[in-house]
This record gives sequence, structure tokens and C-alpha cells, in this order.
Amino acid sequence: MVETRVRESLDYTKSSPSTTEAKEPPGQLAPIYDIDPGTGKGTGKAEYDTSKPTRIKFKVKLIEEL
Amino acid sequence: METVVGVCDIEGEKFVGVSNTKDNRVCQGDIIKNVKYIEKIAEVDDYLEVSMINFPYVIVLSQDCDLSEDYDFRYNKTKAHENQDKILISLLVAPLYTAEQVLAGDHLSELELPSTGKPMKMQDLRKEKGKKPTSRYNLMTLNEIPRYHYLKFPGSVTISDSFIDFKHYFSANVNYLEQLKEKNFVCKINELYREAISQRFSSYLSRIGLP
Repeated sequence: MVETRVRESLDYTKSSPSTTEAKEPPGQLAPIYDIDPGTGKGTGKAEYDTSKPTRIKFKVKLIEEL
Repeated sequence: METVVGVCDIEGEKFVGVSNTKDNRVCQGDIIKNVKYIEKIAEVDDYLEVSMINFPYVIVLSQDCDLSEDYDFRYNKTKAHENQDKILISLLVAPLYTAEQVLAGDHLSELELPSTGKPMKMQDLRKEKGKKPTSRYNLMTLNEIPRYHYLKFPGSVTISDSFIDFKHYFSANVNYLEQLKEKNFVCKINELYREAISQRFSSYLSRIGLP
């Protein structure tokens, strides 16, 4: 007689929250980076500063030397 | 409280390790925004004419042990020092340029060339306008071109992917950066990554141009 073992399937997409995570309110668990962990692509939500170097010129009137 | 963002590796994309820990002193690997470089001061009649360049982001390249000693000696942190042997005159920084703008070669377009008054134009690294990057650009992102160091920041830092341009390094006053860091500190590159940057910078500075 052949023994048949039935193994419970695991859903690896649903991991149990760690103790630390479980204590955090849901809002605190939101990713802080602008990357979709699922696809690795940028979500475009973050606002990046892409300003360029600029030149500033001005004149200062000499009154007296220190 | 220290929050180390560390390195993410998402589908093969490598991010630089950064930390938002803000020390009191200036540290190697600090990224500070809106740093001004005084390029010229001239006395004309009763006026001083000042010309400065504002760099949106710079990274501190000076050795951290030098910066630590300087801070210690400057403010007598560990003990009352009898001399000022370790105090620095200035420290070295290098600008960060947005990768997308470096690709198009227009990252310095808001600076005019003094001799012509025209916007500065750098090498366009696209095969055709709006097309794919050249192999040189791809090598730059792999840190295979000595002049540049590519930084891909994790999303917690609102700086777009950038290049450090080692050719454009300049010096800055220690006190100036110390005061500026209080409000303009962005993040700090983690030690292992800053050492790699430092090593590449020194290697670039000491390169030998053969005929």
C-alpha cells in the first residue's frame, strides 16, 4: 500500500507580520521610498530636486576695513 | 535617532547606502544642499564685486579622521589642546549633478561662460537627441569612468540619481559648512560607500596623463 502525504500549500505572497510590524499602526508600514517593491520601478510620487548650479553676482560697498 | 536606510537591491538595481544621522560636525560623505562657492572677489572703486556659484548638492570628500580631529581641536572637545596643530584651513567637496541632465549634457546650462556669455554646454551622452544613452554613459553608471561616481539614492532621499563630478571639486570653509549643515543637511553616505568614493577620488586626482 502506498502512503500518500498531503502537504498544505503555502502562500508565499502573504507573510505573517513580525511582532514589531504587528504593533505598528497600518500607516507606519507604508514604504518610505519611491519604488514599487513589486516591480522595482519608480512610482513617480516623490518630488526630486533637479535644480542646476547657478551663478550669483553682487556688489558690496566698502565702508571701512576691519 | 538614527535611521539607516541601507542598501536596497530591487531587481538588480543597486542603491547607495545612506543615513539621515546628523552629527554636529561635518563628516566625510555628508551631502549638503545649496553650497556657495566664491569664484571671484574684485575690488572696483569703492565696491567689492563678488561672484559665486550656488551648487544644489555637494558631497564632502575630506577624510573623516581629519574632520574629526579638526572639530576636536577647534572646540577642545576631548581636552584643552595646547596648540591648533590639527585645525583645517578648508575641506574638499564635489558637486552632484542630476544624471538625466548629465546625459543631455545640460547640467551647467544655467552658468554662462564668462568669455562668450553663452550657457555652458557639456558632452551630450545620447546617441541621438532623445534617444538611448551612449556606451560611455552606461560605463559612467557602472563607475567605469574615473571622472564620475554614480549615486542611485533610495526613495527616502529626494535627490534624483546623480553623478559626482570629481573634476569639479572645490574647497569650502569649515565653519561655513558647519553652519550651513545645520539647516541644509540632506543625508550621509554610509561608511563603506563613502570609502569607495574617497578611493576613486584620490585615484582620479593622482592619475597620470600619458602622451
